[in-house]
Amino acid sequence: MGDAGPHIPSELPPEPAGSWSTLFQHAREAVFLLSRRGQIRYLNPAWEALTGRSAHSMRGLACRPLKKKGTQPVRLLLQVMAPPVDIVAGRCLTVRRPAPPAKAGPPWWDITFIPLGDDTGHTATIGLIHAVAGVALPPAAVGLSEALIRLRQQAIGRYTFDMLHSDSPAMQRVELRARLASTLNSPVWINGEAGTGRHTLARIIHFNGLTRDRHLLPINAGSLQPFLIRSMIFGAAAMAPGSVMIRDPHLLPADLQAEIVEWYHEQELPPRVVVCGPPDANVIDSFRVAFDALRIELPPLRERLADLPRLAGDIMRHAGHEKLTIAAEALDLLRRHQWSGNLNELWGVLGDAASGTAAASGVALNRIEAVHLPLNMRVPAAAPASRQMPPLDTILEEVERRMIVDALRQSKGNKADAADRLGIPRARLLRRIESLKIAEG
Amino acid sequence: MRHPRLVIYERDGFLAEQVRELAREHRWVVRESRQADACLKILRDPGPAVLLIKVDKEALDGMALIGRAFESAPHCPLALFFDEKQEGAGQRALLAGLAYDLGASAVVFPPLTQSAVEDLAAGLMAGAVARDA
Repeated sequence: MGDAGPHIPSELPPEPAGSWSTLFQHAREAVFLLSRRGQIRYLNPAWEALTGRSAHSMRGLACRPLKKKGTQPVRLLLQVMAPPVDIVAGRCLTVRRPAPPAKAGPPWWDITFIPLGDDTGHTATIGLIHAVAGVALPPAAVGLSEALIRLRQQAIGRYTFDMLHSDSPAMQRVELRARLASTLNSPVWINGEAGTGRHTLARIIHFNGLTRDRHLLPINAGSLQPFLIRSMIFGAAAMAPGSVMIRDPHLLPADLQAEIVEWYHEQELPPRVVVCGPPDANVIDSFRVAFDALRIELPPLRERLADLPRLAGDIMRHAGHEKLTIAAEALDLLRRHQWSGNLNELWGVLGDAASGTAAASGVALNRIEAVHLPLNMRVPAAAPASRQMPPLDTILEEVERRMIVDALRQSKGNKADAADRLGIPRARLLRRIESLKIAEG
Repeated sequence: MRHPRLVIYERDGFLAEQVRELAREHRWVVRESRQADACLKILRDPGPAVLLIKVDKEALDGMALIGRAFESAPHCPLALFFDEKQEGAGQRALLAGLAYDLGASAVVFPPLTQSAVEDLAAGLMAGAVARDA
């Protein structure tokens, strides 16, 4: 990165192996092969025809992004052919770049970079250039300040397929299908109970897909009024989103569903549509036919409890509680819960528990204990006859505990002040804290 | 107590004024802050919450807050309002697209009328309550 530009190495790499010539010599698409360091090793005749340059004059030059934009046509060309940084991680990537010598599109080139490697790591990169004619679809980042571009890269960098790794067969199927969806532009329909991570999966597919350099337009039918949705979708011509995510489509009016289908079919280069909602929902037939192409079924959390420790860790990290750990006993209780609200419920329970660790004394603890979890998790299920209501003493103790914890929090851990607030003597408060095993910092 | 919270990040109190009556009608608490960290802390509290952000032209601080809020409280709907007109549809599309990528549910450009702000906030509040139910 930031190299001074094209340079001729003192010793040219060897001629490309015959296999490369044989494979790509007659390809209709422009193909180039770069060494690990980005030096051009092979250019096929289609590349020569596209760029108007001879392969011989270019071989050995280095394709690297420069800090300052080049002005000479050859420097622009080398910059455009430079592999993105992500390629080192072994991922195929398609990026849209202005076709040189233009510094901004249209016209555009869609360049697919395919990393090659062996046991020693990344060894070379194949590039395939597809010249895009017609509609101008600017990448998301062009025109933004460097700070905003960095912000976007950081945000979308979180959405990797690693988030889907699991020993659960159902989740392994999800990962396989998500990887497939990301390589296509076909509509995807994500089904699963509320809170299973449908919207996160949609983001993973988009931000690892062919159109990741364009935007993801989220349409939440449950929160946005139809006129706003119309404005967002049909007025998005300038934005040219790479994907449109439609949440809860059954909440869209039927006429708007029909308009979206019509709009989709009219697009010369339609975005990937990702629908998040039940497939048996009340949607019109044409909507279902248009968008129920690749179905992904997300399993509920209760069917992937082996993932719970990792998921809990992820949630704690994202929610800013990365220093908190979860005690084994608490984790055991979490595993035994039914999680009808799935990951949303887990997020809420852990958030409450994290608040609880700081509540008792105003000093944050570093571990979530069983006592910080909701009562319905801690009280074991009783015999059927008494299941509907826990014992009275348990309820009274829980009420007392919560009042004491609240009072301590309000008084920032000052027990005399907390006792005043509760209207009891300080000594009695101390006894109750000890008896109820309320954690102190 | 878990009062639903309408969290507002802005410098001049404009948005808060537009939604105060709406919040009162629906028994939501309006929490204003000019500090991003304070907004995040309020959002992380249990219960339904909606974050409304109003920013100037470049919007770096607001965009950064959207990214952080969506990461730490993904269940909270986020809306971004621009205070100043942007130059051309292209620039508006870029900024809106970036906000959506970072996690915004909606982006609004001037003119910011009370009805536009209220309509959007009401929808997001309803969605947040439904999700929390």
